[in-house]
Amino acid sequence: MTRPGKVIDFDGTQVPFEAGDTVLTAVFRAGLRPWGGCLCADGDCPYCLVTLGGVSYVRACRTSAVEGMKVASHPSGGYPPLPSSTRAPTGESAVGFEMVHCDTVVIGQGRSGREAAAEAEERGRRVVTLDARAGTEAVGVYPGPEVVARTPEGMARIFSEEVVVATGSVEVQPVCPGNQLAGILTRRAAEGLAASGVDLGRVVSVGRPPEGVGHEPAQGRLVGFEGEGVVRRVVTRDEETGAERAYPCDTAVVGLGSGPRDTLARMAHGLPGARAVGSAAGHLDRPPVPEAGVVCPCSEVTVDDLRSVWDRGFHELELIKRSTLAGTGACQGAVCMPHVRSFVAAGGQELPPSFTARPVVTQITMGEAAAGWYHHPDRRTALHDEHLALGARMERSGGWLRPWTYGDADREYWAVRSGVSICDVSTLGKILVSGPDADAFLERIYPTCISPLRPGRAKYVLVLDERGYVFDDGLVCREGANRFLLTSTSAGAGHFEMWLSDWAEAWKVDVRILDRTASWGAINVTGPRSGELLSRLGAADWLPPFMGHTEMEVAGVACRVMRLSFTGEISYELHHQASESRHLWHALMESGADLGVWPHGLEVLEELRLEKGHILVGVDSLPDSTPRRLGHGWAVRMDKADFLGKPAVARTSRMELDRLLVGLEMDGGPPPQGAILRVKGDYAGFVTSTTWSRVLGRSVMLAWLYARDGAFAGDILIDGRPARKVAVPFYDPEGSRVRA
Amino acid sequence: MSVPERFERLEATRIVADPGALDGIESPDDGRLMRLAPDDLLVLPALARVDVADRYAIIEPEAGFSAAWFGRSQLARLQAVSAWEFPRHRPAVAQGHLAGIPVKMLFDEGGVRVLVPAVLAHHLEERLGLGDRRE
Repeated sequence: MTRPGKVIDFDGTQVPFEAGDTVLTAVFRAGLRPWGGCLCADGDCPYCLVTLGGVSYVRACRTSAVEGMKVASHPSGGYPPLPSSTRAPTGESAVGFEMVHCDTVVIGQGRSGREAAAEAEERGRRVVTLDARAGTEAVGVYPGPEVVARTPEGMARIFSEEVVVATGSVEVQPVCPGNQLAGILTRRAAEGLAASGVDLGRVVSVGRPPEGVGHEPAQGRLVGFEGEGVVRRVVTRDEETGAERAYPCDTAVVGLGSGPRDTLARMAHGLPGARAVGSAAGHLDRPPVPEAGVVCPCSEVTVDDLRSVWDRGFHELELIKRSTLAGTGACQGAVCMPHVRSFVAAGGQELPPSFTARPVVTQITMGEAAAGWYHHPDRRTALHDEHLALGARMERSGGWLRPWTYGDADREYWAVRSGVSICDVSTLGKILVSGPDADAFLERIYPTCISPLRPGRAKYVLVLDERGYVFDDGLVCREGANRFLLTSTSAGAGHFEMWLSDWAEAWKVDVRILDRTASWGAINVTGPRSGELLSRLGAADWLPPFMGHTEMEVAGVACRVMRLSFTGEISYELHHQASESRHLWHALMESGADLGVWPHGLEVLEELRLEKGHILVGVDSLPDSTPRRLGHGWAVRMDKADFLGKPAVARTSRMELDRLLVGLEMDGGPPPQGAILRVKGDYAGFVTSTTWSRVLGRSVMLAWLYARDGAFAGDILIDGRPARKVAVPFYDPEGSRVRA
Repeated sequence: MSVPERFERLEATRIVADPGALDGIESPDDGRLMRLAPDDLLVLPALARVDVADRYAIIEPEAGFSAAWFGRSQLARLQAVSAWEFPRHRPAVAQGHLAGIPVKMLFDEGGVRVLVPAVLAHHLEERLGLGDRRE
């Protein structure tokens, strides 16, 4: 009784294999010769690339045959097809990943690698060894040093003090007519296949002969290979007589020398603790100058192509590479570069060192490249679940997940304008500054006067960089003689804290700085009935006046209460420990139920703030927005002794104003953000923020308007419709509502 | 239990003050001091009151971190998502990233207490697969 053996499917052919076979070995064992070009069977050449499980550029020589495996060779002279679906197959899991820490990592486990590993272990080092032939393949070396490897379990990032590169050598490939025929092997490939019991048929060898392989050595210098698709004859030339001779064969084996397999060594070069050993640190046996044939199979570059670019003046190795793309393909120059170097040297050019090597050294999948990397985390406020429970649609904003809408924008809007609403503003930057130099420090930081600010009072401030450009804004609240609470935009909080700390360090001022952004929650209670709601929760005794702040308990929660307004209505921001946010939120919602309290999201907040003409730094401002361009010159005191950016503000103030952030309004629906302003048909600026104002019954916008002949024209068209330039705020310009 | 279900919000005290003043603060009974920076101290658990020899010190209740305890058997799991090697001595304090999330870690003989900014705790729970959560 015969027992069916294990098989793989190769291009539709059932190919049996034996234990330990690679796909390449199994294919050869079956007598198939599907790949043209001189196979190295060692991961260097680009010839045995296959598609396996939907993944292309997989090397058959490095892939163990597994029962039922379905393998497709790459199309000759073309690219493998892209996967038919952009989605991962159902059930496919992410590539595994781990980080590994050791003292020494040895890449390659040939003789030099084994010796290096043994020597390191003798020194008591914790050693990790990688061996591509055993399925643990280093794909890159990075500063650290850090080695990234592909393993049977997935990807690994290996951190060590030492990196020993013992990757051995790569065999020189033949460049001559017929070198793309199938049935050509390097010496080591032939030895390996023969050792696996593969019948190579009639073998003719050129150069150094293979060991353990029955063969006929060809005499003379290699001229070319002949055959139809598959090599049938090896042609050589006698160096003395010039006579050519053809050797009939089934397999041609070439032993043309070798060079260092040093891509990883070059990647590691200069890194502390990294070194190459053995053949990887050796020198190239530079082959004869190529005369004809394909030099770079990846980019299909022939010797004639090299001559062509040479004749056009490209004589440097780097230029030849760039003009022909030789060395930029799947094998990254393993096949062509020795020959290209010989070609350049023959032209009398001095050869530069090998190219800079950059990760990765072999083809990896997107999944492998992404393994172990995470998307940028989005912060959640303590009220995240409360928002979801109310049906909020969450959006990313300034590095946070925030409620965009609770599903009924009308309800959210009118709760603010005619009743009371709450908004989770925990994301605002909140920074405490204390110290004997706090006053003087903030005077230098901000372009407005800080010293006159009394405890319990707050002030709107711009934040300028050294060039006088606005990069943030917020409030300064004085808590005591030497203590302040600063707020900043949500997106800018992290940067602002670093900015403050850097300047404190640079100026050697005596201050303490603590970022409370993630520690404190903040809920804005806004609307004409906001005071009434707060009074129900124990804040009846004394609520601060506009731009005032105080500490008090609200619903039993210790709060810093700030009275200000971004919405255009009376507003109280309740800053508190984030651990109390849920309790406070629910207390506000429950106590205000009969007042119609309802939260509002960012969508409505955008509309509310725009009606008041409040800018959003980063939305309405540009990277080179000066206070004057923003129409915020009132927030800068040039009579101060000094502040960051003052010289630049002074200089730009002497220049003619070239553009201005202006308020526009128009009838009908709002144009989209970014809509173009035109004056007399010419480009005149663009819209930065836009909304239909429910309370005003018209569209309102902020827009950059460019000066024309030194003036800012008023006859503006947007999308062919007239827009009126008006003063901001659009809503409640006297501010009577926020001060009520 | 050596594998936590989730991170829980921590109550602590944060003190930013003159480094010399922080040097003089003693660890509370059954508590720990985490020196986050020369001028920055985290005290676990929260203190009802603390004396700091710096009149300008910022002393604040700290609700910005969530924490979870991982037993010694879980250290390899955490190490596998850390680009830095955990300290070998005990006790030890370390700061860095786990699975791309900034953390502070308090090691002792029994395991490690991991502190993560509460606003990012959900990511770390998911990335560590706590409570069957997956990103």
